[in-house]
Amino acid sequence: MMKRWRTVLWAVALTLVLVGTGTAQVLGPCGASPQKAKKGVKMEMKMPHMSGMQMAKQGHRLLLPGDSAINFSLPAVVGHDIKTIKLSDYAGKWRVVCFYPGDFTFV
Amino acid sequence: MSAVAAKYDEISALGAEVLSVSVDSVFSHKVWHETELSKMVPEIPYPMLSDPNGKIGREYGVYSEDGGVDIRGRFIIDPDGVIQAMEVLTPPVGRNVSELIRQLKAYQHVRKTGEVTPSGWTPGKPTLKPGIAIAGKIWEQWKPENAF
Repeated sequence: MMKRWRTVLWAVALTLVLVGTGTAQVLGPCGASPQKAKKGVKMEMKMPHMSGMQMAKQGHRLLLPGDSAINFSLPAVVGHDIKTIKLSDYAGKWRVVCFYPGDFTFV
Repeated sequence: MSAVAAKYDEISALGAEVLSVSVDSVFSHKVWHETELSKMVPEIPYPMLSDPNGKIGREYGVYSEDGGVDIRGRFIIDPDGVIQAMEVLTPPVGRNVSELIRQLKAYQHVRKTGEVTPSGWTPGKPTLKPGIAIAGKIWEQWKPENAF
């Protein structure tokens, strides 16, 4: 009986230590990562994902002509291979980036 | 995107690279190419990028939260990495590749010469040299008919 209690107490103590030091992370609602508080460092507020419309409504400026294009790095089909393609791979060239809703769609 | 592929040689001859992006996986792109696109154009000569969850689409302001897709946005980016033009359409209407090529030529002309290209400009049509001298005198050099 005592042995089991001791095991439970150790488990609880260990959990508290791990969570307290940020080694183990308790997931917040919807599985979102919690923000880690670092000693002496201002906590970074990660922007929640928002659509362009939502961003505009909240006063965040949309990307517009005249702005520098935001670099990205994405997996891509190139010919018969899968490669990682960055916008910056083509720095110094004119680039046309075409977003489209989906493969196999009508338009 | 098959229309873009069909005109790729012309776009490439202007020194431009094309990148297509949707939220579909690279595997979906591969199968779409094999089963459908290849029946419309011989090859897709540009990289087909995969933007899962629309992470990049959000940064470019084209991700639709309701649909879970990147809507039809097209960005012309100059050699300095500056966006010169963007056109965003809702999904039901396709883009006009001839207009894309026209704009690309126009921006390249502007960059090369410092002149400006009036509405509907295509190579060979009159351009304008911006300056105080032509203020109020555009009509001497350019007429609305030039736009068509």
